[in-house]
Amino acid sequence: MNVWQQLANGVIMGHAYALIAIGWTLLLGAARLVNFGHGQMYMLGAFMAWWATKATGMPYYAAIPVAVIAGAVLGAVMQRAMLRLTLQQNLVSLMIVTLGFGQIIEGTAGLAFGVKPRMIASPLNETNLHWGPVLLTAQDVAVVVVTIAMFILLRFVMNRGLAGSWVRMVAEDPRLTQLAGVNVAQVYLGIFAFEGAAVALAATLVAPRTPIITSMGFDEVIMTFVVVVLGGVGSVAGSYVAGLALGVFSAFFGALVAPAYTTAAAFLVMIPIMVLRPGGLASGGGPSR
Amino acid sequence: MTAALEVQSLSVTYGGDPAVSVDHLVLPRGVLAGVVGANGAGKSTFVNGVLGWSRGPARVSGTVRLDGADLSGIPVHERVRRGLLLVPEGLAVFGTMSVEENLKSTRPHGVEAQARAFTVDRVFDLFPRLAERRRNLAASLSGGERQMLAIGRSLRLGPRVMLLDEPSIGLAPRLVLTLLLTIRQLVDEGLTVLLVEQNVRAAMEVVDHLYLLERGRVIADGPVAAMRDDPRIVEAYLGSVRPDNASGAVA
Repeated sequence: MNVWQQLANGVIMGHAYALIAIGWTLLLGAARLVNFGHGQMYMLGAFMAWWATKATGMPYYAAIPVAVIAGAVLGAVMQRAMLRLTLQQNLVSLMIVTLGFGQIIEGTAGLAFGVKPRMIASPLNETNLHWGPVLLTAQDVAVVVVTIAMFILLRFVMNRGLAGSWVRMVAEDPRLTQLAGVNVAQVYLGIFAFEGAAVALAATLVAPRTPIITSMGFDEVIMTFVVVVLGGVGSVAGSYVAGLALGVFSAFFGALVAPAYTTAAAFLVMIPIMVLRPGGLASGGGPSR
Repeated sequence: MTAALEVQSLSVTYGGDPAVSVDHLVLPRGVLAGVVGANGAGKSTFVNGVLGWSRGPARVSGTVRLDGADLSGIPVHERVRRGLLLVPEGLAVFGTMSVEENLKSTRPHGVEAQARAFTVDRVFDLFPRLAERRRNLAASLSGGERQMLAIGRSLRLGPRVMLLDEPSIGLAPRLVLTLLLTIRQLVDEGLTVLLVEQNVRAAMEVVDHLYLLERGRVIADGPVAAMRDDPRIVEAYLGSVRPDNASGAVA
């Protein structure tokens, strides 16, 4: 086994997990809700990018904003439909409704894009970089760089900006936030639009590394769930660390044991951690941490 | 002159009969009016209803005018932006934020509100205790400090009319009067306040006008001097409490 290569794979995969999870981190931290349609939104983002390059012939770099905008719109539409449940903090119903949304997205995507595996044509994926014993593509590097940039940006906005403090206020007490003259419905809409845009951005960067298929959403939502829960509900830094740890763990587990059992193994690790530290790795973490 | 706040046929329902039903209430500008009544008389429901705000599934009907402008159909956050502020009962601060963050993240919306709004420093001048604790998390504050912070946050929004729901609850007797006098000072500077207060004796020290609520209805109201002799007030709130016991809880 090439340890350095596995470590690099793990770091890249970890950043991919973290980037895919960033929207959900904010969602869970702020709106205190889960989105089990998240994986299908990831799938749709990937297929939007594939479709944009294939059907219109636009370059990969132009397809990224197309997918991101589509993701933001989808997130906003979902939130609009669920607004009443969100304001009531009716978590069980929201969980089921988002699962349903995911199924609708998956079914529609199957009809629209077919069931065959596709490949997003990214020029970054064609560029190989050798670094000692490690072989990377420019796509891998882009995943890592964009993930780090997105986490820094999110942390900065949450801690410094007015929008960030509104999100934190909504996270703590939506009713009280209304009394500060903040349009809470709009804040929720913004959070969902961010979630949709962020997962679509993740898809355009991560998905070109492997073939995509319209049924791939479920696997993504499972890994995202592990990252967000391990990181500590809504903790921005915690999600980054958890994503990275999960990536490195998966890479070595895959190389040493068997790739097929990686997801099961991730859960095996998660369960004792949740028992020992119910708050996740970043216990006591609010959405700002 | 237009009244700062005018309420007409306000009724708040939680599904059955109205919990609160108030025919008419007018507050001229620069007036401090008190709302008193027994526990469960509907004082909180009433002031929350004026804003159209609730933590539960309340239904509010009626007309509320702010400086003459009808607020019907206008959502809560927009009413707040126009200057109708509520400091609700209890812990009306964001515990996970520091004192300073609580104040800084609460900002006036629009030019007009900006002109009326307190700066963070001015809030600290009004409540020096908050300045000392500016870096502390709001969750670590005492009850009195939280009330100061809650009021300070509202002042940051540039209120025309402030609805204060029991700001003195849980405060030491000495602090109750200090807080009420601070509110009085704000009114003297031009603010209009509707103050819910359980401590009738203390409220009478500072208010101009008093409303007595019973089972969701105003059963008596008038200038505080006249109300002092009202038999219903005397009997229920003043007669049974010894004069030296200013903090006497009235239920």
